[in-house]
Amino acid sequence: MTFSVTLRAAATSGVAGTLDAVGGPGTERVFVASAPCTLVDVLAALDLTLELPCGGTARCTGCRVRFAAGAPAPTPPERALLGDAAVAAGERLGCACVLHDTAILELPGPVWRAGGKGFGPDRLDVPATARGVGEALAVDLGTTAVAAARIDRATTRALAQVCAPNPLQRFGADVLARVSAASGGALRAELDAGLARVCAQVDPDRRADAVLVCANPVTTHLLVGADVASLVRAPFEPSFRSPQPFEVDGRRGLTLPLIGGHVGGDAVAAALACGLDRAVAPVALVDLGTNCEVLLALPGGRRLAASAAAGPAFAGGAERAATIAALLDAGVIDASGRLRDAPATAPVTARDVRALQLAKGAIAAALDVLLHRAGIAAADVAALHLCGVFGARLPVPFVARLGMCGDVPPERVTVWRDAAAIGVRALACERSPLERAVTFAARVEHVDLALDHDYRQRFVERLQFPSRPPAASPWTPNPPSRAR
Amino acid sequence: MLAQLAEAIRSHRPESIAACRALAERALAAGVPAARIVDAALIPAMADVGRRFRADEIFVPEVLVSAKAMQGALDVLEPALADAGREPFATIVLGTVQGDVHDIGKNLVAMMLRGAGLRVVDLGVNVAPQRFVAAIDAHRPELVGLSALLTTTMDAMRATLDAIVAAGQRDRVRVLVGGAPVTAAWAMSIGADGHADDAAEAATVALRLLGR
Ligand code: B12
Repeated sequence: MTFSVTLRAAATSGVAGTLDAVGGPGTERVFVASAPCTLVDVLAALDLTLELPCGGTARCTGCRVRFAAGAPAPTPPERALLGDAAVAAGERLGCACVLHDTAILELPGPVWRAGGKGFGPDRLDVPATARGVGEALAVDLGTTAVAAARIDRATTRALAQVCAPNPLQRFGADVLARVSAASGGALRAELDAGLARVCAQVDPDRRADAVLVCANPVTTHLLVGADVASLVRAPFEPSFRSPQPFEVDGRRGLTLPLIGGHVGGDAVAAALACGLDRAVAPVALVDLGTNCEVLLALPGGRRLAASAAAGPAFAGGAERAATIAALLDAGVIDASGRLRDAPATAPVTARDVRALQLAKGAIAAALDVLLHRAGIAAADVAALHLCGVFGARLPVPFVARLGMCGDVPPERVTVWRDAAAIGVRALACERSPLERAVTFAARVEHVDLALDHDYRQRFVERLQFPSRPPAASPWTPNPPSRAR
Repeated sequence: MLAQLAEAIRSHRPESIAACRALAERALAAGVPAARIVDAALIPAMADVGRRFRADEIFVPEVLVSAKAMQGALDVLEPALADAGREPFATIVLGTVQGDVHDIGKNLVAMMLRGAGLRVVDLGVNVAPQRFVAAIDAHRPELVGLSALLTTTMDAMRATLDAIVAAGQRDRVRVLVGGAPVTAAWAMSIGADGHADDAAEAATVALRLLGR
């Protein structure tokens, strides 16, 4: 038995994971199978990963795909979650599909190239006097993807690099879901194996003498074998903040320092990559990944950070944000978020709009709180760096139209790809790799938004969309000269 | 006048908050019984707000404005309601379970339940099981409402129910649970009596559990 599975990028505008991974709108990739297989397997064989917000357990519609031909028989959860009309139109859940015949499908949802995360430009401008010698491994252990690179410390070059899906994805999209789904020991074992794998891929001959890892606090705790209980329910406090040693596959590892219960080493790495430690004017960072962290650095060294629980509403990436921005401009969605007279074919539902409002409201309100605590206005912010696996895929005009970065003028927003990976790579080059990170993290005031009196009110206010489109500004991903 | 009051609550315009107090005062001054103002204006208006929230026509900010307007009118009417011997027909003890600090959804639920005519005792967030037990003793509610927004704190719901059983209170109260990750299946598995996906449905389910 052989049959072919054709993947086609849906013909929608915008920059998105799907288009990145499959090619431009309408581009096709073909897989020839010789036995029944799941769609997830097909994608893996093509080096693609489908985003599975519920961990591939058929409980959400985040991995929705549409068959143009050859749709397999629907399963009960697909009927329940998608509805009969969508099922009849060929929609299925990517995680539930088993293919046994020739099929053509469109991928409207987020699909990432498994090797999607990179480590930035050829060289980084780490001062020569600060560089160490020999080779080191730098790892950005993200909630969605793990990226590892072997670095020549003297030249700052990445000699080998790889990116793979985070092995814990099958336990859920966010860290809390994972912790609820499996024991710390089970999660730790899988994480360990996944990390060992990427390390072996970039350093089969064991030339590097240390592994430097940046990760969120829950993942960092799992990695070093610490209890996560205090992180996943009140008081949401880490049991340590300083860098921790650990071992992976016989290699010596070190974690980056943590700032708070949900502001971790990944945020520290991204902040350093964006120069927050050298701010000569107020600089903000919005690290929009599976969780969202917001940091603010003031000249004189004061720094504030908060975790805004945005959630995976931005996982739909630029396509959904673009659609919602366009519908706002067209007046189909009003400033309150009401979707009026949507044509039945509208590519977003009222629920999608509401979910996006909650996410962007949480982020904008977090920024408002930090600005208020710092005693400055949004107009005083000289630069806002937007990064993170989802943030780095959002064109600035959409960010501005949705009001995600509050009142910060859009022309001051810069989108960064791979900020955390670049940050951890730069640190790995340094003679004392943790010094800059520890000095930075130690001076950050962690603001717990749950305890902030105004946060709730600001969040509710920020659920609205800006009533008018702000002045447009061109989208400039990663100005390479600034990587350090 | 009652139609005007109901419309002001429904309109969710910020200026309606002051207008509702004034309209309630005028209705009282004109001799309309407070209970009738509640039954013919406040309750139907909030039911309509709930319906539109559920249909995604309005969102959290709009519901909050309507609820504030309704509460303003209710504050004006309360002395007259007390004089006339009209009490809320049931009480609910409501809180966000231990370990969880999310309260925006729970606050909306509280407002919709007040809008449906219940007395709400709100225990706040991060409420330990024993505090629910103590509040049940103190306030003798017909209903208990538990909110959880985190997959990691859903277990605290079960712990709270267990504590209510252990305290011998289980047959005195009906327990309603909710929050984004809470499903009907989960509610059933921990032995709760009801579950709702949103604040409007919470009011409907509460009334059903009370046999109304
Ligand atoms: C706002 C918010 C916060 C605010 C809370 C402010 C406050 N005072 O409540 C802050 C910033 C403090 C916060 C913190 C955290 N949060 Co938070 N937060 C959210 C967010 C964005 C919106 C929640 C909300 O208010 N929704 C609006 C209301 C109206 O809806 P609702 O709560 O669902 O309530 C409705 C129904 O559920 C129902 N209902 C609710 N309660 C009840 C009770 C009964 C009895 C009934 C019948 C019905 C019912 O009716 C309500 C009205 O219709 C969600 C993401 C999301 N999209 O949901 C994350 C989210 C809930 N948070 C999350 C997390 C992880 C956290 C943190 C633990 C970590 C972090 N990311 O920072 C922290 C912990 C606290 C701390 N100390 O830092 C995750 C949970 C993931 C999971 N698997 O459990 C979410 C889903 C985001 C995500 N995917 O990452 N958060």
